[in-house]
Amino acid sequence: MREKTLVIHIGPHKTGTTSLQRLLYDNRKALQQVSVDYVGSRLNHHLEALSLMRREGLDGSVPAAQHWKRLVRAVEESTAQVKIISSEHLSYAQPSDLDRIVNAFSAFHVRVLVTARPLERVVPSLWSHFAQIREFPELRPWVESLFDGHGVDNSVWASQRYDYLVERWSVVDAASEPTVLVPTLNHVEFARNVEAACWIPRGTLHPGRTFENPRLTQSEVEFSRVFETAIRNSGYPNGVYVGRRRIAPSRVMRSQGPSARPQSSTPLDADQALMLREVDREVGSRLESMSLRWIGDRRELVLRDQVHPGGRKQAASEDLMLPLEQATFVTASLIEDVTRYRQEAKLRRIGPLFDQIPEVRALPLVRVLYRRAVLNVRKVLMRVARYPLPSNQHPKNRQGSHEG
Amino acid sequence: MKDRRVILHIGPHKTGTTSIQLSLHRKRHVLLRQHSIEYISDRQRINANLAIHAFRGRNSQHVEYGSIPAPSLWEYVRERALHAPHSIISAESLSRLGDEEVDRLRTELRETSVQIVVTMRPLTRMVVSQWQQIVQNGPAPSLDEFAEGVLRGNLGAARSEVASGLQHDLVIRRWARVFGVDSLDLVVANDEDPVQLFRGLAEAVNVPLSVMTGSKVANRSLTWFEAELIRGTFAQLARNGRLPLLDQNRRFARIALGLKTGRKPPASEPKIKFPTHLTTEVGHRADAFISTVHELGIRVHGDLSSLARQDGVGVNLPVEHVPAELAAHAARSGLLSVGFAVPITDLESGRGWTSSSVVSTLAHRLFRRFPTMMRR
Repeated sequence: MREKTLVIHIGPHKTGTTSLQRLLYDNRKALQQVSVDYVGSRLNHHLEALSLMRREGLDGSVPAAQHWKRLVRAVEESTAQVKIISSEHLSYAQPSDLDRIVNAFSAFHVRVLVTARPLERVVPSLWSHFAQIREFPELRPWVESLFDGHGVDNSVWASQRYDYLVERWSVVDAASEPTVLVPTLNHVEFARNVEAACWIPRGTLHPGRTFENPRLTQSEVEFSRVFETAIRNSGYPNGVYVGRRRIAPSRVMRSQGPSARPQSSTPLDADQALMLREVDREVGSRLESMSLRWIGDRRELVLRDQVHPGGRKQAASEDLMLPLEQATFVTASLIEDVTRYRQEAKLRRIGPLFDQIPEVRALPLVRVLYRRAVLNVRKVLMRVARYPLPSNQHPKNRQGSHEG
Repeated sequence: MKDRRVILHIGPHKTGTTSIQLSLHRKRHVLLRQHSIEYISDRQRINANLAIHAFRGRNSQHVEYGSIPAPSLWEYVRERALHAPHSIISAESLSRLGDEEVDRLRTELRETSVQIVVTMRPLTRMVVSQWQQIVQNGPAPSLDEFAEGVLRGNLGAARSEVASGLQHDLVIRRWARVFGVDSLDLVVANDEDPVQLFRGLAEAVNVPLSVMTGSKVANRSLTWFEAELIRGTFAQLARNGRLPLLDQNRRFARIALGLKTGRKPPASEPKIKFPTHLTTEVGHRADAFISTVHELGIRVHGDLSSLARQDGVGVNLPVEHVPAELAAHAARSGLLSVGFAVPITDLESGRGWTSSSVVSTLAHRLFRRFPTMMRR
């Protein structure tokens, strides 16, 4: 069974993907000893997934096609019995992308792995995630907008609803029986479940260094959300970068902030929590009717704790206040990061121009020249239109008179 | 009788000088054509502060960061003043001139008849505004510390100029001694009636009010949260030894500017108040100034007694938390001011660097990558 098996973990977002990836990444050597290859050398396969789907990364650019080709080659060249690749971006794959995956790995016994958590938990986490990386609305209107288009056509549902996801990816799974892994908070149990899900011999994975992505407080998420929106309104549509490094307050805040991080994600309003719980029930019952390989407790996919009837109508203003010390630390750190990155990149050595426009890559600069040229041509044309040449000097008339 | 007349508007700082300078700059053609008055400034700038720094051979008020402007800046302003029949020079840095410097200025302008215009506001407002200015420009003391230092004259050496700038009775005595009391006009601003400042100035300069008004200046004050956040950020940068890195065209002063233009604070956000415990001292200082004006017999335009008014006095509660959106706007402003001089959209629409700069940047990069490309 294990011979030439390729496990593709497709996420989706906020379902314990980073924990799973960190577990495999940290145990790469141990995995090799039992003939399992977590392909490549990086934490995940985001670049390759984006390259396959021709999707933009955070910086607004599409990774080169080479990344996907290199991954396919690495899988083909791997001598391990089981190969694993993992990227939550794959949850956005369209049927045409799936065809390419099937063709690329036709020589392998491909198995699809989906990690799943209750959407009632995932949706606020997802909002918090997006609010930290791009211009994004507030939580309540965003959740409302999800229910305005509550179908497979909505890209959020298409990638986050496990029933839609499994239906789509069944064509890739060699046994037409994708695996659904329901993560637990117990690190040891989680490692054993990942082993079962990926055909790894039991006891191989050591969960000691399992990564936990620190959650942000509500005020920190609000900070990130307003920052990203303001940055985009300032003329940086893809965020701010120094070279390939993204300058993001969320990273700084994770490194320093309140000693006690919140245990749960941003709380939803009660009415929206109940609506999402209903979606979870619907997803759960549809998954029951499908042919799936379950790892973990599937009952965990619908929360059972009581939603407070009064609910939380709006974030209280004190929830959106940041300690002054933390606010000044983050602002100063961001400024320092930029100056340090610029120094590390030795931009100053090249000459004054690199000091002036170091953050802009070559291609946008070419675009700057092109746009300026277009603007200048347009100006000239407008001037000509406003002050036309005298009729006797017009080239058309001159030609006519010459012929006559 | 000298036929050339120079009007020197000497400020001091935080008395509506920017509004006046913007107005004079925008109406300079009207002043010249209709009233034969030339408004002289540092070429592209709206005031002559750099020329005055050059005259003094000193750097700007931010002694830690500025550099001494070229002497030619002052020579340009002086030559124009000596040749124009009537001229106005406005520079709040004139109020910082010492006794010897005022004497030297008199000597350099001896071929002209000089009129001095001093603008004033209630002292409580001036102290708060001056503190805001310092907060915007780099590491600053707390408001209480600053106000006490100004009123009791025990600010550190680096701020001694600021303290002297707030000793207005000494300033008018100094200028009256050199140029004579008859040459002095005092214009008192009224925060409730912004036109009063222009009315007083129009009277002093002897032009119609319409020449002075019509220019709207939107330069809002910082709120208490904003000021404390900026002050805390500079303190953090200073603690980490990062401030010298920011010594490029004083970009960091744009952090507050970006915050003021990019954010609209809610009405409920607390304003900066003059500390209650210092009202007696500020009252004494205002009284001393008013009696000096009476004693010297200086011409006054506006309500002199309003200088002793104590508006905007109260207690500024310690700031422990700030709204997350304010912190986000400050971070954005800081990042873009210090690290990212020009957004790409500005470049595309033709603002920012010249096309030749962009081309040479691209050429430099190509040149840098050439060896790597060849190796491949």
